[in-house]
Amino acid sequence: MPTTTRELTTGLLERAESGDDCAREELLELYRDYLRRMVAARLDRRLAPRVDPSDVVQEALADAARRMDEFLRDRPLSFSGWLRQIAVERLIDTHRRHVHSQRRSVTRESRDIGLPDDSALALSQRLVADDTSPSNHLLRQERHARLMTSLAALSPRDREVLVMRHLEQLSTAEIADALELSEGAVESRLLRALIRLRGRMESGS
Amino acid sequence: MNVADTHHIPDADDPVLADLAERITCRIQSGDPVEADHYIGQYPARAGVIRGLVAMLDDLTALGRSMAHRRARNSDPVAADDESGTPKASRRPPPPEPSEQ
Repeated sequence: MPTTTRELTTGLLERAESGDDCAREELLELYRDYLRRMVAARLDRRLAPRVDPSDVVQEALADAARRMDEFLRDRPLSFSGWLRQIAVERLIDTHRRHVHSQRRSVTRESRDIGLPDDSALALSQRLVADDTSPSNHLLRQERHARLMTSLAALSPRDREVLVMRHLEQLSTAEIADALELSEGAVESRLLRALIRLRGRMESGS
Repeated sequence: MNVADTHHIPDADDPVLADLAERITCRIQSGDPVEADHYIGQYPARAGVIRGLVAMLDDLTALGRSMAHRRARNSDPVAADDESGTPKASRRPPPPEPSEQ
């Protein structure tokens, strides 16, 4: 009896490969919430009044359903990594449609989709607006603002693992699966990113 | 790329520290109290880094929790307390039944 997501995914992929359409649907549904967390963590603040992360995810899952045969044949990445890539494509498209007025290279935009690219302070204000402790509100707001600014200033490689672990709240096993690394490599990458983040916070950059 | 991102940081390749950082992260995310002094007692040579890591992980976890709570509240105000993070099926509500004529 499969107990982990990875085991479930492996089983469903086998069934999907043998032509089981229900298995395909189950496979995509299994990752709906996972993708929603990823999209919500990366959606530009300016789009929040107009764009529901669930809608971006729905479009991404529809894309994945259409391209599933290709994935099953070629297996270019892990399944979660492949889905994330599709979700990033949809996110870039969403940003392009709603925020950017000029055409940008997909490569540059995919590197930029780590965090919302607007004011880190505004984002932290949104996040802490409903804090219940007025006396701690300003302190927390300031701390979160510095944290978001420092996160945004990291290299994409460092920022990605920190966003996945702490903002999307993925486990190291899930990150390892998505990035096709060992869990030990993920832990090392996280440590390096944390130390660099700490350095930026202390230097005020 | 900023030089700060490329220069060698001695502690960054320490597998003991990497494992410790992950253990501390799990503990903080599950809501258990974490005292830096407890870990410094086990690894006194790494005291400086550990203290900084605990503070940083505390802040990151708080930020992640805020975002998770907001996501849950926006998607389902009734189930706003559900902050589970593992991929699982989340069925969309079925379409309304066509009205009988």
